[in-house]
This record gives sequence, C-alpha cells and structure tokens, in this order.
Amino acid sequence: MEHCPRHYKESSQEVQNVFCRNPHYIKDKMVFTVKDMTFKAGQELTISGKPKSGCSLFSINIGHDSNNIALHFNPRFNYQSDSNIIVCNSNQGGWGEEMREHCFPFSLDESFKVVVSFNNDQFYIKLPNGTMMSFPNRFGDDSFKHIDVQGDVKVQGIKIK
Amino acid sequence: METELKNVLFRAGDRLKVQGRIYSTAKRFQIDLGSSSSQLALHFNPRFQDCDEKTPVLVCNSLCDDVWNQEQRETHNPFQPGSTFKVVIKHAGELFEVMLPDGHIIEFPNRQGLEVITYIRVKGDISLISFKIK
Repeated sequence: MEHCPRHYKESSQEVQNVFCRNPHYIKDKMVFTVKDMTFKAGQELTISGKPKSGCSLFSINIGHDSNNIALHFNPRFNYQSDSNIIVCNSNQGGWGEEMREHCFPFSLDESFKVVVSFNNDQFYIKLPNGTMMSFPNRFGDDSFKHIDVQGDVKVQGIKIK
Repeated sequence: METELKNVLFRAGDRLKVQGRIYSTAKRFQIDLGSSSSQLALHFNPRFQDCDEKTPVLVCNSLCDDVWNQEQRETHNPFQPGSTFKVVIKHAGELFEVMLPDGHIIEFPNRQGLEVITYIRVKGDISLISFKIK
C-alpha cells in the first residue's frame, strides 16, 4: 500500500492532457455506464471484457454517481511509471488513499472476468485467476446505483445476482 | 434504470442478450441500438400501461437526427410486469431480429443501413440482471 494521492492527481491530469491532445483517444475510449440501478450488499456483480491491444489502463467504478465512487478498480498495463499493477481508490470530492496490488492476471487482447461483491465494510474482488483481493468500503453504504467501465476495453457482459 | 454503452462495435452476426426484471408498476422500457442517442437504427420499446396505450404493445422505430420515423407496432407483447425476461437482439445486416421471451421473433429493417452499431442503451422501468454481447 502506498500513500500518494498527489501522484494520482497528477496522473489524472495527465490522462486529461492525453485526451485533449489526441481526440482519437476519446473516440476509441469505451465507456459503459449503468445508472439508477441497485447493486446491494451481498449481491455479485460480474463484468467480462477484453482489453484492446493498445490499452494502457482501464477502470471499473462503483458508487452513487460519477463523482462519488466507492470503488475505483484500475488495472494498469503500462501507464507512466506503472506497469502490470492494479490500483484501487475511492473518490468523494477528491481521491482517497491508493491501494496497489501487484497480482495482475490481465493480458491485452485476452478476455477477463471480474466478480465484485461487498458489505458495508469491504469490497471483495475476484480476479480472473481466482485470486481474491479486497478494498475498504470507505462510504460504508450497503447499496450503490452507479457502475461504469472506462478505457480501451471491450465490455462483453455484465451480470448482477 | 439506464445502461449506456458507447464506442461498442456491434456488427452483422452479433447478438445482444439482455435479462432483467420488469417492475410490477412498469409503464415501459426500451432497448436502443445506433450510433448515438439521436441516431438509432433500432428503438425496441415494450409498453404496458402507457397513458397513450389501452393495451400492451411492442413499438419499434428508428430515430434520425432526433426525429422519429414511422412506428412499427406489434400487439403481441409477451413481457409481463413483475416478472423476469430475456430478450436477444441479432444484427442480421439488413434487419434486426428481436427474439421475445416466448421465442417469437419480430423483425425490424435496418433503415439507415448501419453496418456497425456503436451505441447501445437499455432504459426504463426494469432492473438489469445481465447484459451480454457475443
């Protein structure tokens, strides 16, 4: 675990700059958004997709809306000084403390499946190789209605049960 | 509920499967395929107790620059408020095939000849169980 919210802000700024410089990046950026639905504690959310060959990073975000994200799950293939690492964080008017996971069972052009469940204390994320990781539910809420996926990733399916 | 998928590549031969639960008080829901929210090749819209409708109906239409084209209406509506459903939409090139929960298939022409669907939206009085493209 590393405390570097400042670094993260700079990273986010860099992403913005990349978008401004290269409009194709926006055009090719897959965005999947689910609004006004209920993802409750105890339920399982399965997201399957495939990172495109040029994908540098993608993210799965769960929260109340796009500005209140309880779980930002962000695999980075090759992004600035990061390679093959999963960064998790939360955002409520600003990023919180990052958590970095070195287990990285994602490959470009290869389908993956991620299963997320939570209670009011923790998010539990099952990675494509079966490894479980967790991230604190800093909001402590037991229901979320916003889910989105961003980045150069093809979303193939989403399932809540 | 609203699900929006942008910059997807959904081509002839591809299928979209949507499973959900229709609210018992549902008035309507819709599955839209196109290139943006103002350009829809297929607007598939089951209606239940819409104030404009006396009986349940399935409405299909296309939208061009935010202007609706001619509606295609089916009085056969096997969707039931308060129950779960599965619907499969196939991009069959010149038309779309919508497989209803009872296996019945309705067809709607691909009026703008849109080869690649890049925008998909599911919206209305349902909760989403699953959404799958293959």
